[in-house]
Amino acid sequence: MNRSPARLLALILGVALLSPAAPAFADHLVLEADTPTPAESGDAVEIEVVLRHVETQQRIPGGTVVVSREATIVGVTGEVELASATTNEDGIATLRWRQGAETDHIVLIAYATSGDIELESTPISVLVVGPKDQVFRSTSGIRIPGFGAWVLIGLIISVWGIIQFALVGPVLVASRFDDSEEDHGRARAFDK
Amino acid sequence: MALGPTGRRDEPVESVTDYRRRLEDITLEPVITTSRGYWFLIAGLLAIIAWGIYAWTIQLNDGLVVTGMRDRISWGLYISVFVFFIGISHAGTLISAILRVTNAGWRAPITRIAEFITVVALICGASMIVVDMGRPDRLLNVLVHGRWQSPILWDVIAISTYLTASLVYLYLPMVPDLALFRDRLTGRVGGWRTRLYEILAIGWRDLPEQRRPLLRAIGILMILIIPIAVSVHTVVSWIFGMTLRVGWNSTIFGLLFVAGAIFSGIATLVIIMAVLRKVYHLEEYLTEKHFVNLGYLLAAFTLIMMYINASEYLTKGFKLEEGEEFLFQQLFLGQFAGLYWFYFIGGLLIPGMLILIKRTRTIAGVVTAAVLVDLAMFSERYFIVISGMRVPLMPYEPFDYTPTLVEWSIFAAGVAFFVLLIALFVKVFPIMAVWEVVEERERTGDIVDDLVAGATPGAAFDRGDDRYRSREPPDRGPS
Amino acid sequence: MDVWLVLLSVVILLVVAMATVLRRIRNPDLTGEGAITDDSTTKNGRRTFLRFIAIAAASAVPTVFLPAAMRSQSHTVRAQEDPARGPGGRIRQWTMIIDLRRCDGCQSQGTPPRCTTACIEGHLVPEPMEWIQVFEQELPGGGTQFLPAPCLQCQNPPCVNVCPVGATFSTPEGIVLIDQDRCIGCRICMAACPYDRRFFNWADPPIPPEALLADYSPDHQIPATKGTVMKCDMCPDLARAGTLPYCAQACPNNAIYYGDLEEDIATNGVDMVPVSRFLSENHAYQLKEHLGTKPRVYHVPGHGEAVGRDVFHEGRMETEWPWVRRVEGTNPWSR
Repeated sequence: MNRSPARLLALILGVALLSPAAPAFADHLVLEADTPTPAESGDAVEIEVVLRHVETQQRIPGGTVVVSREATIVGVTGEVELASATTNEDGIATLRWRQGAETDHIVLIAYATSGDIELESTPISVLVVGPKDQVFRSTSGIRIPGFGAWVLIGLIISVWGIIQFALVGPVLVASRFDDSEEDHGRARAFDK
Repeated sequence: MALGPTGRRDEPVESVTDYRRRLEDITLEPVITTSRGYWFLIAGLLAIIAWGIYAWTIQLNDGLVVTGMRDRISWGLYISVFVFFIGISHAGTLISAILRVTNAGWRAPITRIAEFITVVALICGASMIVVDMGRPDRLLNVLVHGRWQSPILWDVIAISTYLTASLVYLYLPMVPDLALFRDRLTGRVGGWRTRLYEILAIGWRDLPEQRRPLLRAIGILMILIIPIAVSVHTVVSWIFGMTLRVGWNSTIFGLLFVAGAIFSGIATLVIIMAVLRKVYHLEEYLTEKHFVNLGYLLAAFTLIMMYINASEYLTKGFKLEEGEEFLFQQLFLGQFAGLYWFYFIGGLLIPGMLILIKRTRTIAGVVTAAVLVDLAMFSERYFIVISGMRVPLMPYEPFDYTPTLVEWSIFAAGVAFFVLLIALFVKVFPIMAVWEVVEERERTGDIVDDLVAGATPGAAFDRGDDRYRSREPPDRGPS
Repeated sequence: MDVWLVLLSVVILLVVAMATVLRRIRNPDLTGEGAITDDSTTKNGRRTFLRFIAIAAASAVPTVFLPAAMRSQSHTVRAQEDPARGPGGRIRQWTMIIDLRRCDGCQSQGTPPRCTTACIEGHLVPEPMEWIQVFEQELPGGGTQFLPAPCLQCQNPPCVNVCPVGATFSTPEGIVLIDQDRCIGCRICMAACPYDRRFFNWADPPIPPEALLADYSPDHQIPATKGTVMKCDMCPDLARAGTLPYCAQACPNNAIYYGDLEEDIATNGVDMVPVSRFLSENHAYQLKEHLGTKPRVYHVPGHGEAVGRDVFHEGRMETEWPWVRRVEGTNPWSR
């Protein structure tokens, strides 16, 4: 639960444009929402909003509340709808989304009641605790030869060392007798 | 009382010196004389190799598009042949090393040929890989930029280690025979060969001080080379086993490939032995007993192969996961059915029966079995590679692969190169391990020390024994 | 570090050889006859020493292997520039979401799939490669769905794992690229990829004259070289320049979303969606998830219903390579 006792930001927006089909009390609604506690990227964010009539303080059930933010990526700018919910009989709705933005930014919470054509919106600022580590990591750079490779290298050096040891020994010993002039007289018999 | 040379008790038993002398003559003869048939053979092999090189230049020029391989079946005949040749290279290890470790004396006349087949097969296999590369000009990248985590690098390391170890293991037991050549062939063969024997024999005078380190080195290597050889073909199997393809994604691949390698290695050894025996009159040394023993090994391995096949296919076939059904359909009933059933029936069942039935357990029977086994193992390598590649990975129709003339030409050149190297070997190096054979015969009591034989060295020669083909009078020993 | 290890291994092998020689010279195993006379000792000693040098030098040959991969992957990641970063400075983790509810294989357009064609034209993809390929998959009840599949940019990429020379590598943004200057054409990566997304230049690929002078880099695979492997690279050059990949731009139904997992947003050019919610709410899946390759491309299940396609309406037009026709003398190979 992210209810921040200190700050309650509520803005009443003058509703300039009203659809003729809108209910008569649409221009007197107010949306109250808590500021989410400062969130880290990848964290879950949750806030509760209350939809009330300004004058009568009556809670409005069945209203649609949407939270969104503006973002830009690969040259495209647009609004990302982060979450939407419907107010219950107490006029309260809970909005949940995953924190993606990395810097402090504004989310807009908009509401509409049945019959409304337009969504009224309330800006809420979201503080981001940062800078944070990457949430997702690429496997690049993780292919450094590990322990297994060292074992393999050690094995190969040992095997090649033994092979050369086996070759060097007899060759050197045998070659020591190379220019010996004596025939020993038993050149082709076995010496038991 | 010991048996005489032809197995009869009433013959005068041969002395060590006489036996040795005869064996030396037989061993020296291929190096001294060359028949016309030999030159025809060499000419033919060189022609095939030249044709293969021409095919390869076409491939270098136009790219691998001249083969039948395409994106969906990107490995084909070259890789199958590579695996086949590396498989054959296990002949030497089994005969020289395992039989040496287990003190099986009958291996003595075969070891030299077996070890040489190993070396030649490794060279031919490695050259097939270079042929298959898209950029052979960048071969050194494997050494300079190699990644330890890659199955191909393990392959390069294993094969080069095995090649080095086999060369050393071929060379060391050959030193005494090279000394023999140096002593007996001076002046009788060309100058370069004399010099070669002199260098390679490293001053061998058969002294105990020389023998000791030599035998110790051979002892070290014979034990070391067995795990090296096992690792080679296991690592080759992991080029397939480390992928996620149906048909290759199996933990039993290492075992399958090593068993298949020893299997095809023995078969190739039998075939080459039979040829050399005929051409160089080695009937006395490569007897029926040798062929039958190798035949028993072949039969044992048919059973092992059947078991591994059953393990693999029964466990997969019981479950029939996605993709396995397609694989089985094409392997047992469809495209590759001919190859598979030839492999199973012609390569496992029939050779096994040929050897287990007493009537066919002759030299001819064993050689027939070996030929069937070699052909069957080649087709096994082929269908493992191609059928694995053919299973569709995404929703598309399976593609087909047929090797082109370029691929067949290069394959033929590879085989010709194999035969050529063996033919050249026979002309330069001793094909029998003389000292080992003599030792073995002495150990079994078939020939005896000069004094015990009760005859002076050279008695057989004086008798006019017609097995004595030497043109020189025998060495009568110190006078 | 590399040179250090070469020297170390040479030293080890020389020490082994030296130890053998010294042992022999110091403890000659002579018994009785055959003793070396003093005269021949010097000559023998020199010969022995020379032979020892030769053998030791030969034994240093295999140490060529050793430095090869002591360098870390950071040496082999030939990143062309710094990785792309989001507004807060964290590295972008590119992802692609393909909404199959909107993909009808361009049946309604009457053309070959536009994503494939745009990719082919934009990257000068040689025929018959289809870096993003629209497969037609049969559905359980009959009928088909269209499945555009680019390289899935796996996070446990089988292709990177098996490459013997590190020619294919992962970038910090999570994209898998290929360096055609290092590739040796062994094609084990093609055998390892379980999605059939890698392609080989079996012959000289056609190159238009203007591309011959282009600077090749793994980010921008032009011009292609014979005997090497190519695949979809998620257009890192376009992403850095701030535009969508060719396929996402070209899709007439805006079915392809491209975005960043780190900032949790993706766009198809028109809409912007929160990736995490979009994937979960729409039951997105990854192809062949059980293989553990951890792809960065997701698919939202559907069969083109959002654009009015009937599930039993099968077939799409064959892919074409228009730019290849414009280059003279090309001889494409078959797929």
